Amino acid sequence: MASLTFNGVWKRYDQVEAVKDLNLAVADGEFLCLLGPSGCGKSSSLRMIAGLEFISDGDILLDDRRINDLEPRHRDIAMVFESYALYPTKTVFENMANPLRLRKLSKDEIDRRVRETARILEIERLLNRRPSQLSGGQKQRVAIGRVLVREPQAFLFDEPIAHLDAKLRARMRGELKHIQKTLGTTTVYVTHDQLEGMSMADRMAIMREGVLQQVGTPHEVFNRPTNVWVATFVGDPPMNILNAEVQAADGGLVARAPEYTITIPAQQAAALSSARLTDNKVQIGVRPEALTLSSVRDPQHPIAGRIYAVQPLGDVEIVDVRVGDDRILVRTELGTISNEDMNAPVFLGYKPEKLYFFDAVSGQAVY
Amino acid sequence: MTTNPRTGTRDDVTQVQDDRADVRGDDLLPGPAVDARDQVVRGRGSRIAGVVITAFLGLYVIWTLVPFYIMITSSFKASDAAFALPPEGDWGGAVSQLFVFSPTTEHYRGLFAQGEFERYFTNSVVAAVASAVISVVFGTTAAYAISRGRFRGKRDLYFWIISTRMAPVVAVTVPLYAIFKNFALLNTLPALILAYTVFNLPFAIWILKGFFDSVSYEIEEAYMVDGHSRWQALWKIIPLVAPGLAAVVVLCILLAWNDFIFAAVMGGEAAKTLPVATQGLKSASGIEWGQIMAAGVVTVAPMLLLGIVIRKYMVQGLTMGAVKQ
Repeated sequence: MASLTFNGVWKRYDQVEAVKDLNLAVADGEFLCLLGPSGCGKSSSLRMIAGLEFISDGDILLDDRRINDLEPRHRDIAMVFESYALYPTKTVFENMANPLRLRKLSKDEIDRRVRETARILEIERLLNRRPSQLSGGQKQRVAIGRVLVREPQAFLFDEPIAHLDAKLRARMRGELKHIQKTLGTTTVYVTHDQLEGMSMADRMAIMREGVLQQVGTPHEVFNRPTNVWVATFVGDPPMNILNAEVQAADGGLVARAPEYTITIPAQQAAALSSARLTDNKVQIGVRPEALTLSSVRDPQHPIAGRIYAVQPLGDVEIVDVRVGDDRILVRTELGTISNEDMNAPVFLGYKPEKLYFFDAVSGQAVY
Repeated sequence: MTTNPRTGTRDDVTQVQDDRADVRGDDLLPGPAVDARDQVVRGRGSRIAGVVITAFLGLYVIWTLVPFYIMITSSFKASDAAFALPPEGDWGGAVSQLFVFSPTTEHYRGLFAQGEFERYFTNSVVAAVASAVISVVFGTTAAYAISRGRFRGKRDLYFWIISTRMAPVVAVTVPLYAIFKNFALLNTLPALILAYTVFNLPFAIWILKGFFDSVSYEIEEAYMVDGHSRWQALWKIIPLVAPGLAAVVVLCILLAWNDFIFAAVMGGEAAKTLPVATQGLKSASGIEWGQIMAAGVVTVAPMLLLGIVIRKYMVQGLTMGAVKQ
């Protein structure tokens, strides 16, 4: 096991800059999730660790050793591929034994390790099958098994559960996290699904268009996003963003839009007045679960809107409300509103301490 | 309840009800061999079509096989019997002459009695096999590079390689002759091997690139991350392109084996191959039809055998590479 460090790493493909000046440290034994939409450079970063892509600029360190020019086979890093990449001509046993055979382990040791790993992954009965005889979930387990037998310096996962169905994905999240915690192997996990990052990672590194946006624990990223983009990328349903203008009133600050006026809490008002907003334009972020709904207007529910759609989800429902030209999602207990007809009037309330303010031009959060 | 020594997990901790991991046995057994076509109810129209198709295919088979039949029987007939004409109007006699004769091996004996024919046969084998091997080895590495590599001008390079196949044989014969002459290669087997490789190599690259394209790159990457070098990874995925290799081997051998013009122009006596040697049986003193037929049989037989041995891979090879699954 080892720590991993990116020092000003760039990846360029001809004209495209896939990864721009990435600086990131993964601690020994840490589960780090590289998160971002497709094309954000997360896979390129992972493949540079594995040695499957050249590093255009900068260094990648494994512990304190620079591994830029090391061939993949000499890096002692194991990787699970998105397509599983099982060896089609080999049985499950041979797939898992392959990396061990190269390391010249004894036959008994190989046999012992493969069977033990197979038992952890519950694929013992599949050992004599070939990949073409396996379901997607089984292939994925074999692919994981092939890296687990090795006890490498680090695990790399490239969207390993993206192609499984939703139920199996939910279960595999738990299993992967459990396995990683028991083995304590440094892990870099690439995904576009924020839920996987939130639920499994010790820390998340969120990338967009090759630029690292924020690194932090899931809690930090969720509760203190650095900018609008991270705020709306993490969380489901996503954070609502409202456009407003900051104005002075009654000795404090308010955010004003045609449909509503929001009093800005004192602490954030102070931050906002020291921030240099362009034309006083601000974006207000509020998570669906920080909003409340009422059928009648009262002091707690000052913002008037109309129902656009209601999505019941068992015990809660997502209410899609139209306020002016904006659409706002509200996560609320089932039965909060009696009239779910389209265009029925509803009133929104918010918890002032749960509001986020972003510079409308730069997108940076103001705390 | 045992404790896993390596991970410290108890077995029962990770035991989760998983319906998916247990593929039921019947999911894996091959089902009864039902061909969708068997279940189509055939109407009268399709029956007529079937008769027409069968008749056409029957005629086609006869059309294809008759020359072979005549070649083989003639090679075993005494010269006078081969050209004997039945009396006019004697159709029964004509037919019986096709089937009834007393076989003789005199033409084969005559062919090999010259003492040179074995050498021509060997020349043919060496030229064909050597050019096929060279084409497969370099074709594999080049196709792999083109399929996997990222470099500037890749498409142009690929097109250039294929385009060399577009020139007709006669167009390159004269330039090659001049080149070989300068390198003192005329009338040698290496000249023929090189000439065949000129045509076989682009073809091999073209076919094999399709095969490599259809093999997921992640499989090689998995091998490399597992601890293999790139060469080892390439070697490991060779079984996945084996049908392509088989097709390339056969087609390369066929091209060289059937070639006449290069062998005639550059081979000379020292590197005479079977087609040229057969042509030589037509001399000023007469045409040795019996021996020509025997030479034809000797020429065709190895290729027939090769085709039969490798036919399974070839059909797969010719369809699979081109069609992306």
